[in-house]
Amino acid sequence: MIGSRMRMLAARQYHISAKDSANKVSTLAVRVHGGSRYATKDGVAHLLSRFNFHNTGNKSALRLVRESELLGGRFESSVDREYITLKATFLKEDLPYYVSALGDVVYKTSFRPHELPESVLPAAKADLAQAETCPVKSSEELLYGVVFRNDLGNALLYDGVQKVNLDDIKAYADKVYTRDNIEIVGQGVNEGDLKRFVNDSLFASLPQGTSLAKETTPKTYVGETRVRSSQGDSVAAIAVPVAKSDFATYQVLATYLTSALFDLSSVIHKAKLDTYSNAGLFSLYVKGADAKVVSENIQKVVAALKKGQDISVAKEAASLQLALKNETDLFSEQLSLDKVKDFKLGKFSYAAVGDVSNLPFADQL
Amino acid sequence: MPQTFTSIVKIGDFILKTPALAKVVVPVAQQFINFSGYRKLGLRFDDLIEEENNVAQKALGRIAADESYARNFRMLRAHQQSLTHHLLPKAQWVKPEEDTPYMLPYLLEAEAEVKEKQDLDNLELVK
Amino acid sequence: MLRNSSRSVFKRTLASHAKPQVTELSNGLRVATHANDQSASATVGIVFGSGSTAENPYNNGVSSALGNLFKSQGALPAAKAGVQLSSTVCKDSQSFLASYSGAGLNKSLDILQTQIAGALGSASDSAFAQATQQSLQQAEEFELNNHAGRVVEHLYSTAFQNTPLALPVRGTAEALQGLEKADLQNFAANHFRNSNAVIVGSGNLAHDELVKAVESQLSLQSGDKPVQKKQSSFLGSEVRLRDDTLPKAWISIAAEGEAVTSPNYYVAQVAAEVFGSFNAAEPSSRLQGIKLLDEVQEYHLCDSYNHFSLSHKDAGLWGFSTVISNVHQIDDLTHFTLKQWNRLTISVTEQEISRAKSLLKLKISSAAVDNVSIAKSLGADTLALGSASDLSQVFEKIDAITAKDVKSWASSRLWDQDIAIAGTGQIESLFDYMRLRNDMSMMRW
Repeated sequence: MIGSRMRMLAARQYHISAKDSANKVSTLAVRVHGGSRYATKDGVAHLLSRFNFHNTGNKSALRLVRESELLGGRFESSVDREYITLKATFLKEDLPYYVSALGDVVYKTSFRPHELPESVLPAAKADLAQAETCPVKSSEELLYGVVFRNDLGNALLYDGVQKVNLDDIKAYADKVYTRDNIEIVGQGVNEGDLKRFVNDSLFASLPQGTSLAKETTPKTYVGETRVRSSQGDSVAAIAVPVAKSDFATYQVLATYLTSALFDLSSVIHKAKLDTYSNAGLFSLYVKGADAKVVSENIQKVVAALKKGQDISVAKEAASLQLALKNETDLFSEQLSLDKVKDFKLGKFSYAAVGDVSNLPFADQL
Repeated sequence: MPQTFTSIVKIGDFILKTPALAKVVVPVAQQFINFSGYRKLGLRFDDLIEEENNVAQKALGRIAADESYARNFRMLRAHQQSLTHHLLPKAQWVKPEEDTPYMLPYLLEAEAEVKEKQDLDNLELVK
Repeated sequence: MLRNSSRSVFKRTLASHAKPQVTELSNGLRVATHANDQSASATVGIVFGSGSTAENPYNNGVSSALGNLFKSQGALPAAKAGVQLSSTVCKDSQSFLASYSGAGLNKSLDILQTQIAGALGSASDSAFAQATQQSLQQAEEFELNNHAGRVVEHLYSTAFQNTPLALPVRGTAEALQGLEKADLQNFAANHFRNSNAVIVGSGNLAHDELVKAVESQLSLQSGDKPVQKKQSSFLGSEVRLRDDTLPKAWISIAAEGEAVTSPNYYVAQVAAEVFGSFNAAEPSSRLQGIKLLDEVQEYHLCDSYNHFSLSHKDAGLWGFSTVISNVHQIDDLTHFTLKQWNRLTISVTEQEISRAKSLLKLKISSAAVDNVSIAKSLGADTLALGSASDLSQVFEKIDAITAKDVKSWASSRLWDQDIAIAGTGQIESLFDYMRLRNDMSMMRW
């Protein structure tokens, strides 16, 4: 009795949530506040994310892959500015195996020295090379750097500018893989089962730690940056830091600008709001092969936004977009869009990538 | 490979654990080391291990950078000595306490990986 | 043993598990739904049994243009109503879908009805011209940048030359340049009919409600189902688009596969999954239990590959696509791969099949999670098979497959059979047809 009570208590300390469904497939995700904004050195979060699903004390990476494919499941680990997310997708009946496998990875990864040069670094390098071919991603990275400088502005991927060694990665893992700093979510999973299996797994052995999640509003800056590049198209992009209270407005704005409701929507490549626990970033990208056309288009878009737009017409479309996103995303977010009215662009940061000689400067917008 | 390092280490451990055997085999082994004379050329035992195979290549790739540098230096020096038909001055002979198995742990790990892969490649399905 | 230990621990069924339902209306129109009351949104739409196979070399791309017309003309009313439109052209079908949340069913059906009427001729001339122009751009963009996709389209065009499956879904630039409003209208008039359509619904909606709404709100033209003039048939052949200015080589090789209606549909899928897919940049991908990977990785023969079993109404393709940066060893890659295909006939193991079955189940069940893709596959299944496939039945079929089934399938479909080859990029060292064809069997083993 007492034993099981104690175990229940242990379970409560985890943020566990689960949604059951009629699907045949389940998804289990462990979300760790360990993204690039918490990085102790540039790129360490990316390397730790890439180290997931390597050898652990209990199981080699090879055995994990081979067992998992016999059961019908796959793993992936991803990094963003806020989180490192470990995800397993598998046939429903195999939940216990995957809970224990994920617990293993989080608690007992062995960090063997040879894995870094043999497997982790090449994979990280491939990620970086992939990201660098996309001028939109490059300009997003630049905008984050300009607006937040550090914290959310840290480099997302490891580029080798700051050398990260195995001890840095290990220390970072110890710091972020703690009980209070992670959140476990299941989709197509019974919540009671999930809690029970989490308690029986190595998750129960993780140290308590403290949550690293940040709540105070970060300091933001306004600036501009330009990078000459011959990789793909030219991109002109603007970004505005968003306070938590304004998330709804910018969510609707992003939908408005990319829908037929806005006259210039066809020239906008992408407009989106990224939300974090204490801040957000709205960014807008204009892309094209001809930098002169991009230049004209970004000027038109910015002029239209400075004039002010009634965006309340896009409320319904935005709420549908949120609903669709929540359906496929494991981690849903709720926003009340009712009060959104209009929008006028004030100060913004600006990034130009590509044929910058033909792209405008911020003061020309 | 007829004999793996894993099996050699296993036999070695068994001999060392059995006093009767150890009493006979260890002195013979010491004598073997003396006669083979590699220490007089400034080599360690792990420098003599055949490296033209995947397992040894993997192990060599994994030893620390300074170990790898020292190994290369010892080999160059030994080649030079061999070429000129000289032994090193006695002060530079490798002392028994310096003759540590710097490569063996990596060899064992690489062998274990190969074995695990072979086992998993040849799984039998139990119904 | 791995599975048994965990399977007994926990097995649950959910009350809300709804099976797909199909109703045929008095006018011959079918309504198929796959409801899920936990979903926060729903998707309704029309799937027509006409895709690129219903086109001909002179109007190839007309479906793509109609899809663009639907999206561009519907964009404004849809955005105002909080509805999202999508349209996809496949070889055998084309979908026109609208997603909504809450009480958007009537509005969505309205938009669908208006846009289908638009395609039949009520849209302006400039709208038609613009949609065709957009399709032309998409086709050119695809030819220019999507090398892997282009190779697969050319694989189809050589494998099924002079038959319907040869036509690319995006259309050819030559055909698109000549398209006029009347071509689009005629095509819509001939194919957008009750007898050739399925109304689909997925997500948070009720079947009966949709049936009622469709009866009162939606009407398509009546008329007979258009007849397909020609059967698609496979011909061993090759097409080479050598271009040494590209950085890599993209190659696709396939034998004739299974049609969707074939009893061996899932056997072919399992066989493809035995070799699965591989991505050299992903550490976990390099550890997979695929015997082919030993050779591929030792000599870094390719950057990635993907085995497929693509099935259509009357034919299919079974093979693989690959991206190669080691362009001087293409012969090794194709040789080892085709030799591994030989093994499907003679020595594939139960363990490999078991692995493939699990991964196929995972692939099928995790592919259709969002309402739009559920609706799309629901429509395609209903058109091809008369009913929507239920995942439990699919799993049963897959579970029943043994190594013996795969061997006998492979011995008739792969062993010493003709192949189709397509490649682009630096393919100088891609062997000629006969050398590759000879690898489809062995003199002894």
